[in-house]
Amino acid sequence: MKLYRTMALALALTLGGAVGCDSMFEVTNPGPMVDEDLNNPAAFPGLVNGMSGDLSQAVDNVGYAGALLAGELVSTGFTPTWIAISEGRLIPSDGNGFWNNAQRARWVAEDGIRRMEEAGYDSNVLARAYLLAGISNRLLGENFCEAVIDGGGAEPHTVYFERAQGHLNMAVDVAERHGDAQIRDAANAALASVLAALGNWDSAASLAAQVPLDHRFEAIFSLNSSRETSDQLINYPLEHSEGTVWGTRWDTVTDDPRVPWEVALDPGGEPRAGRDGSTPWYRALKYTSRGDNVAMTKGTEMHLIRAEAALRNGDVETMVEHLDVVREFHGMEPLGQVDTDDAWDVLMYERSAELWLESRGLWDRRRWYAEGRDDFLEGRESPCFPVGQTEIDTNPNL
Amino acid sequence: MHRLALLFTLSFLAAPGVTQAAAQDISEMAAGVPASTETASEGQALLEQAAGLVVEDVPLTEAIVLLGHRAGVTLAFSPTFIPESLRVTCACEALSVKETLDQLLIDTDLGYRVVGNHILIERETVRVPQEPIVQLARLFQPSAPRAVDVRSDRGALASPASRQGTIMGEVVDGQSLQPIGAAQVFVPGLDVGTITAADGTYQISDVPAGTHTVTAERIGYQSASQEVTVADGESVTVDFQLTSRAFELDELVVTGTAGGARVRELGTQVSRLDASRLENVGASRPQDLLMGRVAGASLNLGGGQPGTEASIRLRGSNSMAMGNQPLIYVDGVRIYSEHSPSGPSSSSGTLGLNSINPEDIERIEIVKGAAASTLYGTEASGGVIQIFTKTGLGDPVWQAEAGFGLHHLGHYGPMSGPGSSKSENPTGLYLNECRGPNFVDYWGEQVDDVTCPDSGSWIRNGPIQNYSLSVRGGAGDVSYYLSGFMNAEDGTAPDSNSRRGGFRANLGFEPIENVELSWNQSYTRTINRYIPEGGNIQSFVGQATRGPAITYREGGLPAAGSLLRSQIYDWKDHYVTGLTVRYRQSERLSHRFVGGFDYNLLTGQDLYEFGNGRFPDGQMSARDWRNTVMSLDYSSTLTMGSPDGISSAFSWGGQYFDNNTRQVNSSSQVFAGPGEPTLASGARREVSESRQRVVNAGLFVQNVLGIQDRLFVTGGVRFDGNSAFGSDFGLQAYPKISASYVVSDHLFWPEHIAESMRLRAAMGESGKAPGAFDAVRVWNPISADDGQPGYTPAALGNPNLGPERTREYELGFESSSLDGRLAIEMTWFQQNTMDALVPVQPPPSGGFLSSQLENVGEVRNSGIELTTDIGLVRVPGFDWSTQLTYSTVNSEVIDLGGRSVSLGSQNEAREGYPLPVFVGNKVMNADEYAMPILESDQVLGAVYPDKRIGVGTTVTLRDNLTLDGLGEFVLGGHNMYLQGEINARRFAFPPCWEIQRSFEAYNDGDTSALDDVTAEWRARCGGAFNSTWAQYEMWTAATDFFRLRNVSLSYRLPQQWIPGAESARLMVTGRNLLTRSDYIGVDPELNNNSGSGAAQREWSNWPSPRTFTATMSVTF
Repeated sequence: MKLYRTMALALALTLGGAVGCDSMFEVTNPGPMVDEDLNNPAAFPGLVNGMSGDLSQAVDNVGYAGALLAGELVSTGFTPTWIAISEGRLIPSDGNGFWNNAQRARWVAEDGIRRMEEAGYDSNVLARAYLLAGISNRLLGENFCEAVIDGGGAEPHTVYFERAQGHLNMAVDVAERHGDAQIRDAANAALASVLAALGNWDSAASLAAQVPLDHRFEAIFSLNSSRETSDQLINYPLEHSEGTVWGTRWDTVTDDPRVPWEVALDPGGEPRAGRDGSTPWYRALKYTSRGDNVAMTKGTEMHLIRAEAALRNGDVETMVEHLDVVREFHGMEPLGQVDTDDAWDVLMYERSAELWLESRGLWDRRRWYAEGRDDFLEGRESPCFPVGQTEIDTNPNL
Repeated sequence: MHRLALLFTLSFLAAPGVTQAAAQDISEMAAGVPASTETASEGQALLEQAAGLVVEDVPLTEAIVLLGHRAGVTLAFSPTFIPESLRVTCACEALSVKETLDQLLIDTDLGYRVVGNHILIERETVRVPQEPIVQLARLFQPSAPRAVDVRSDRGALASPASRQGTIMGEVVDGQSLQPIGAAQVFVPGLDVGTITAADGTYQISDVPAGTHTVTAERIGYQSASQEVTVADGESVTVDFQLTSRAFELDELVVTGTAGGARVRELGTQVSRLDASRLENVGASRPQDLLMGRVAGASLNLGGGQPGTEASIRLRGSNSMAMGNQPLIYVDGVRIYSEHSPSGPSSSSGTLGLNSINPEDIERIEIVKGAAASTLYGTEASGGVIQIFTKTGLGDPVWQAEAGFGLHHLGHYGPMSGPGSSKSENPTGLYLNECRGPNFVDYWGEQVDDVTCPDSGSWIRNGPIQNYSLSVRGGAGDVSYYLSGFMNAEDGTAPDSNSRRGGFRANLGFEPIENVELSWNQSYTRTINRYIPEGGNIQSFVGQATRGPAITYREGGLPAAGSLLRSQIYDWKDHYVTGLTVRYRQSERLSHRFVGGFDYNLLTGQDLYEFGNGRFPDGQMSARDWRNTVMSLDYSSTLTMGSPDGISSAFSWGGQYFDNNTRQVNSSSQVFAGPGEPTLASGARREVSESRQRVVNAGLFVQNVLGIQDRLFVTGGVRFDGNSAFGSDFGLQAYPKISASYVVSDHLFWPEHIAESMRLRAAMGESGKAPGAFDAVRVWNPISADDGQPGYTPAALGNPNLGPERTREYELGFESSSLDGRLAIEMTWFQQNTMDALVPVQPPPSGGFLSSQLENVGEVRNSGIELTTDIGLVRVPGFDWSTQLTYSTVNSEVIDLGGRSVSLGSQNEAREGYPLPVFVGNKVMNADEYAMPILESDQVLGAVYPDKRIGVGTTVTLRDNLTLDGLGEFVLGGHNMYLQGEINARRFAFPPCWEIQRSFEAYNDGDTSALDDVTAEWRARCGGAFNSTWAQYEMWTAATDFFRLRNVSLSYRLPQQWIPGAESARLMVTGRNLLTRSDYIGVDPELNNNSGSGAAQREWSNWPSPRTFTATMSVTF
């Protein structure tokens, strides 16, 4: 009997210990932030910093591939994906990274805005969130062929512009309310580009006129950490010999400070080839460090918008005036007399040079090609980024 | 008189399961009532059960009581017959009940016999001789007076006038030639004999002159007999080499059982490797012991640098996301089972298993699937490997060992296809020769590597040194085993090396009666230095094999050595301690508690010095990884029995595991100049940290129902909780049921066909928990906006996340026939992994880019495992045996919810195919002499082999020279040789040059230039001419191979050569001696994804060398 009592006691202790220690499985691991904790207003500044970081990654990633698709650079690497993109062929399975990064930048910003609005939060931090949401939507609208929002179905890419317009209007309102001129100017500048993209050139030009010439809002890169460092847009044509200016329209342009490049030389003074061992490597020198920022809105672009708006109204003289403002800003000689027949070529050159390697070039190529003004995309399979294969495979609405 | 004595016995039934009814049976029999119709074989089975008894200087009564408890048999005796003053010592853990009783009663006038289901101990004067008893107790007949002192193990029989000679000699293991203690040596016809001492020696005195047969027996070994002629007044020497038996029904097995069980009770297969079988391997690490020796176990080496550690798979891979490495236990303590993290420039992390000195290992038990690992619960679906280290006993025995050898690589290059011969590949892909007339590029330009070593080769011979010293013994209530070792190996790659050293202290106490304590602890420090290899185009291997076309140059000339200006180290400290308490509360109730702590600290460094080829400004990255596993394990067993042969062992218990991991990664870049930098030396620095804690705990209950000690049915269930389960997920139940039937214990069994036969069947479940953060939606902290803190989405989370659950069915049998010359063990298994954790990618437009685990998959593994041990020749002076193993693992992904899951490296999980498969573009007309026709998204082949055939053989000559060999055929796997693809399209892969020149001729108009090149090879070598062929998957190929894994020759030196030593042995070992394969890469087993994941490929790995060692081992 004593034996069974002992056994029962041991068994009961074992079971009781387990039942009583249910909390033993409640383990909190430090490091990652639990989702609910981001609803705390104290976390909102960090949330918006994260939006900025994710947008910079998207600009870096989409910007380099967009540069290849737009002919701003040529790939010198061996990687089949980059070769194909450089040849104007971007299939959905190769496009996952671009799609994913760009979508994350959009979603993070819009999700953050939702949290702040639900918390009744109102500060220039919110204005910056609206701005980043607007620009991330613009990045998608300018570069991708179709729009998909939060697992929904496919829509025209202009949906991104419409969402950007809404976010940027809010950004302007909130920034003005909190006296943040930098955010306000950036939002106005981005909004001007979005309105132009939507074909509302007069409103775009009007808004662009409110932005100072020296305004600049940037995707922030830094050597502070590997995640903040440009891996592609700056790195590939500057240090990694994966991208080259050789073979582009710019490899004969040597006197435009907006498109700086050099022939890379080895220690013996001989011209260096790119990664593939054969393609000449002309280093792009627009950026001098992988930690340089990349402009997302600029006062100079505002003059380009005003120039293009004027040209679309047949006012070549005004167009030239605005282009010369930009050239003067860079210390260049004015254009002088421009014939009407040459006006579009001049404008396209000036805009392409001004926005070179800023993730904007493909959109210009797309819209000018659609208007029959530029034939670079003729015969190229991918005039824009496709929806990523992962989205196609995982989104039941596609 | 003796009836009275037996009645008195009733109150002293000294074993589990003895009841008044049982006593009544004995009483009735003693009174002349016919006893039960007990058969000879049933009686023999009772006597041959494992004793499991170790006692030292205890009263005989206590020893008998303990024997009954340990062996699970009923012993009946009268205390009035037991000399009160007689104390005994018996190291009888591995002996049978019969052998143990023979030892215990040797100084008494007591005998024993089987009565019904019991063993009756009685004065020999009352014994009624019965034939079965005469057979079973042949060692000492009732009338034979005995005077053997078992405590000295060297006693002699009393000397009647008729016995005039002496037989003496030594009993050793036939394979290892190690002495065998506690073996019986006897002369059956005379019923005289003795037990060998610890050093294997024996002496039987007073043997009548004449010709006799002398027999030596030991549990776990095949008995052996020799004829000897004894002359009057003289001594004659008879030595024995015993051959170990493949399986032993009464061996105790601990792993997968609740506190231990005999093999005959288990419904599942438990593979066991004993020290005696491992001594000829010449292993430097425990993983060497497992390679090719266990059916169903596969070890996959990442590479061939010293310190590279294998991934282990038992019955294949059944998890897509959570790893497939088995759990590792050392002396009952769970240790960290996965690989430690590897650095960015090395392909392999270290494995806790390999910090154990192979010389310390007493045995290894391996349970391969869920049916046997149920009691381990969540995390055990990959199986369990338990290592038992040596313990002490008796007089001190010292063992010293010193070994020397070298690693040798030989010619480097593809195993098959173009470039597989030395004439086609004279430079060994520029590694065997890095200068000279053969060092030319595709266009024929000769230019030496300016950093080429003086030897003219990047490959060298790497010396090996091994030293170990141990002592084991015991006195009173204390036992000990102490050891230390040092291992130093240089690799065949420049600068690569490994240094290991450590010590072990295993202590045993019996502080109070019925309580045993054992405290085991070990510490090992490992320092590995690697060259940059594996999985990186910038690695030394990836670059040096381009020869003159290398990217890294100095003064415009090839400079592969610039990549060696790096210091890539792992320093690892591994400390394991475990305290085991066994409390025998009564004859029927026992408790066991194990508390363990496993501590791993790894400091890794990848330093590229200022001015190196890859990072000219210098770069240093470091990682500090610390893992601790605290384990608490309690179990109790209550045994019961009935006189009609029904027994029960009810067990319950619980385990608690607390696993903590902390990792700090830091990096520093851009040094100001040359010199020895620290992390503070770089202009740019970065740091990251992760901390994870996972708690797993569970309870189990189990009952083993035994019938006549030949049929056992086990049922049990484990309830498990895990901190990584989703918040909506509760405790998990893992049931098991099994049966074991020793059918050969029946009378009807035709023993002339097989002496023993056991059938078994089992079903059980175990699981695999998700990761620490998989159930929770979390965001990662990041640095953004030029050093500002921010967050980015990390994991979507799934509150319903639970473990994947593997249910396994297992059927099998073991048989021994032809007088033990043929042993067969066969197992069929089927594992179904349900609710498999599948990484499901959410739509990226939802913001979370990482895959989220969901319990949506199903994977099935099935196969057979066959092991045969065959004694081909057994004659005096010559013994030849062979072991054949055959195993299959047929894997199939049953359900993934209609999706395919990428596992990386073009490895995928796909419904209807093995897990995993290579996928990608496929040349549909591979063997045609035509241009390649490609189809995309094709399955190219199973990654892992599905068949393994092992062939081992052992030949022993003249009792002291043993040749042992082991080879393995591995079939059905595939690998992807990335190095070929990457270098071929740069015209930097000489094996492709002939084909590439044919392409040039073809493009120049010679339409017949490619006529003798198949579409497959056109695609492989033609990537430089057609970018659509420049795909890694073109280099996917079958890896079927044969590898001669181990050959050893050992010689037991004559004792006079080593004065003062008990024994000495010299062994020469060669490992990885020969490989034959049609694989197009360098080594079919190379894998730069070594670890717990499922994916693999070969990319710039340094291959495994041949290893030769000579080892001298001395026991004194």
